[in-house]
Amino acid sequence: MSDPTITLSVTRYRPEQEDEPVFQEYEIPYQDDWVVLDALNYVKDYVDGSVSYRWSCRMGVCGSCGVMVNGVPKLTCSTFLRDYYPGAIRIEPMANFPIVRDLVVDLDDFMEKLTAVKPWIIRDEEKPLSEGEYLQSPDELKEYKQFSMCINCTLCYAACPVYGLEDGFIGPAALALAHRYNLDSRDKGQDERAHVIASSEGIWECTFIGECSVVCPKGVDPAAAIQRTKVATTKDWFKSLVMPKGKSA
Amino acid sequence: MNHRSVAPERKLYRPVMKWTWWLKKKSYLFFMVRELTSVFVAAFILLYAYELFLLSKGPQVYDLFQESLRSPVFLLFYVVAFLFALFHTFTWFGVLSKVQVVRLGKWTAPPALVTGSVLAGWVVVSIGVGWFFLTRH
Repeated sequence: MSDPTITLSVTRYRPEQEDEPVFQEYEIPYQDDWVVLDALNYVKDYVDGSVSYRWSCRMGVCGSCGVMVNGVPKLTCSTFLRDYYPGAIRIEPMANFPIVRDLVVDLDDFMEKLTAVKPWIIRDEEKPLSEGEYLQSPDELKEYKQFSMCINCTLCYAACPVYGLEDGFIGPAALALAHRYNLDSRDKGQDERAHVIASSEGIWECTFIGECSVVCPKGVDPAAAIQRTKVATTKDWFKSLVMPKGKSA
Repeated sequence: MNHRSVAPERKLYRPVMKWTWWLKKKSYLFFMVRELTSVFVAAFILLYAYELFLLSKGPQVYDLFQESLRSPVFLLFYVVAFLFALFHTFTWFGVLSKVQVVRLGKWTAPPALVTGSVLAGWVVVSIGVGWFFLTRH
């Protein structure tokens, strides 16, 4: 009996020779402990060295190996062939992003939007090192911890139809990270982020489809972060109406 | 000599979403149906508001309109609008805990309790409203 094989149908886009992507099939050996990344590496090493794709850590931490596997955004390093075998596997670049080459997408737009929400701790005034660290209780950590697990893999963007339809939408991960820092007891940057988050291209673009949270490989819930930010922003707006001179909490 | 690398001109392929995107996944279709339910809920509210407006026109006009509401077309509308209203209610109450975290001191209410509480409240209010109207005839 011959060794088992599996068919990969991989998007190829070579800008110097194609105007739009095409599929190329590769039949490769099947091993039940292989993930999709192993299969792609086999293709690259033994079948076709010209296939381009991103990867780095192999353990679901770096967030660089996102693709569409049979139409669903996945990290290739944590998606097992055995979950699809004996069926063929269709591997495409992440949806909603411009394609640079084969499975490699252009992430410049995401990087700009991520920077725009200032996903770092902002202080009114930095205290000197001699005064020690900014302390935080376990309860304060619990407030934002799940949102801090984001690895910027952008699978949530590939799952979000609003991002695909509206160029300006800030998107799930960036808004979830903004929420993460707004919830951090050490952070004082809520007002600095507000004009981006509450803009017409921020939280109000989200129609709460919720697929971003479904596909997140780290269990982050960007849909919840965005809806909670909507509630908080609305409360702040009402507070500003009632107490125009009061500073929002 | 400038050692900085300069990105070459790239020919990016920009995929365009088809208008049928919402048929590609069950979750997208579910979302679209949930949005569509709002149309029926809004239509029902408009109809109800129109009935209230007709009250100001006197009992004869109001009774005439009431009679027309018993036509098969309106009855079908009521059934469809009711089913969509139920779908609307259950789906939105189901995601309520994502929108609003309920806390009592350090205790955070589990999502099932949040959804269960509002559903129970909704049932109680519905029974109250139903009882009010049914006992007046």
